[in-house]
Amino acid sequence: MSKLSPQMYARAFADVYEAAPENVRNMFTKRLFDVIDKNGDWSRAERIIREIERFITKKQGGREVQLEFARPVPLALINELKKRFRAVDRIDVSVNTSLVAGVRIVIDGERELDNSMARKLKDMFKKEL
Amino acid sequence: MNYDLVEKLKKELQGYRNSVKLEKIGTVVEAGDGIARVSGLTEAMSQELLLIENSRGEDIPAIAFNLEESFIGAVVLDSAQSVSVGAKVKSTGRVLSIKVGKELIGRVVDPLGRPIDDKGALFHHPEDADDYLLERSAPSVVDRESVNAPIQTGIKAIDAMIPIGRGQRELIIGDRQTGKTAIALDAILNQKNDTARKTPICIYVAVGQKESKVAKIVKVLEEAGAMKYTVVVSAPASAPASLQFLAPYAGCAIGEYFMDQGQDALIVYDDLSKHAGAYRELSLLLRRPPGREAYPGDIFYLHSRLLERAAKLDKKHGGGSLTALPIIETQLGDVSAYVPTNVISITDGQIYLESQLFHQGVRPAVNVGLSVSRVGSAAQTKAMKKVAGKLRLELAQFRELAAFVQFASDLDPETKRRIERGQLLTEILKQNDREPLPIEEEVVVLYAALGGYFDGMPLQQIKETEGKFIQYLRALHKETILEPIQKTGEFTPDMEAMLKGAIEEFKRSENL
Repeated sequence: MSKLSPQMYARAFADVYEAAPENVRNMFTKRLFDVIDKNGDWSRAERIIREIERFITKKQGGREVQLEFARPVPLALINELKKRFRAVDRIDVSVNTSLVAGVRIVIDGERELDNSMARKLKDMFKKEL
Repeated sequence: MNYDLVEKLKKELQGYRNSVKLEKIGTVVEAGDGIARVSGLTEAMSQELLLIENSRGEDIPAIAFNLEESFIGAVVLDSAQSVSVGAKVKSTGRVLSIKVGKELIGRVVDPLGRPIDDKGALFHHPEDADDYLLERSAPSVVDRESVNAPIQTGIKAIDAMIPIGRGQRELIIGDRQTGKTAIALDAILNQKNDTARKTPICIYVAVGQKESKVAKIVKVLEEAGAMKYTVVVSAPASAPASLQFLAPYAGCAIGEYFMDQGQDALIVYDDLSKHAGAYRELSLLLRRPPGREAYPGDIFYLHSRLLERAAKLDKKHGGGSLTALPIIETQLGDVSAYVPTNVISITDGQIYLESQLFHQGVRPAVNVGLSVSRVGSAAQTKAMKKVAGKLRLELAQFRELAAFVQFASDLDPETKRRIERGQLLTEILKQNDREPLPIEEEVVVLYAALGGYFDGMPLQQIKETEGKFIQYLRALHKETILEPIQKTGEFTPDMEAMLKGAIEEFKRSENL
């Protein structure tokens, strides 16, 4: 594993990608994987990709929004929710059964709006019992 | 079924208000060795208390130590094993604090203020407790006044030659097994003997000590009735480095609470070498650059900011004081190592214990030549000052001649006399541990020894004679000699004449 952090990969890739003409951009994606392979960083490939996505979203002025539901929800509801965010925001929808019920929204991995049953139960039982 | 719990649960459910609010969170990206690297929480403060949610949904406290460009290096304060990668981290917006109050007296607590003595919970009524920050700036220069009242250790050698004042920082330094803890413990035990002043609240902070040693110390304090005015803060060797690092600051916060109440407090840090070791461990795990002896660059500040919090406040601020007795363990008597020199330079003097003296049977093994108290003499009682003025000089003269002790028979009478007096005074200053003497008894014994009343007596008899002499005075001259010295702290010519008479009388009765 190299000393390069996923953030370093993200910054380098985003700079090169944006500076290049559109017709050659796909080539950079392939090269990114070659570099990851050369540096022996395959174990961190997922984190690197996530970091690149985050970096590009931020550079375009968007936010990274994570919508977590306790169970699968209809597509119409997801689309309705997506409309409440901006077009540049990157929205990731997932199912997290540990929430028991409700929804949890995390913005940029830093701010959280937790309206899940798990949180409510924890708050209730945390006090005195 | 436990119906109490059911009723409690019902009340909780009835009174529950769902409040959803936007919270600042982070995520653990790396965890191990009591350290967690956290992404997010870009607005976290240095030293801020964080809460890491473990797999069981419990909140594990941690402190933000390293604020880096994209991560926070946090020190986990509880069982770090349950912290896993991906765990949610919440900021609290406050730095670490400890609940303090009078209920702490007589208790043994950990550095987070949780009781560990099986005597039940603390602070049933929240109004009895105050929150004190573990890291707090020291009182400013204008809030302080000079040290002016003594803290009696009950150890003749210290009270006579290295006096300690209330609000002073006096280092106890020496190799392992030289009696450092014994001196600190005697100082705590002796506080109940000093009836002329209000008994200070004592705080014993055990850092990286064996749990058996801490248990033994608590037992000694309990048996001597000293737990009535003592708090023990324990972060034993088995505790994580983070708690060992916090223990002195927690003890200091407790001491500050009593100081702010206008009371006097005495705190023993046993010991700061292990504290420095714990901080070194944390710093290296946090990948801070190592410096001399692999300690981080701010090792001096670690101890200076702690010891600067010891102070004597002026009347306007309640007149309380916090006296600090930090302990440092040296390796093979090397006082020039990194941490010992740092702490020597921070404190207002040091009591240097020597293993050679200890093995020669000189206990407490205080090296009078290397020990010093820079401010304590201003606080020494007049009686002790008057009596012990010559002691240091006579011992210094004896030290110069000590090499010739084995040729004593070939020496001139004056040199021989000085050697004999030095030997007698050394014998007088010997004292068993856990037998601290009240100040008035120290004064009369030293007066008799320095006045030459014990001269010519075989050295083996000195200890026994001293004991008999004290018993004699307690039985026959308590009201006329001992109590006046204790109450006034003075040694007037009248008292001196009376003591002289009592000594002559004692010598006659014992055929000395």
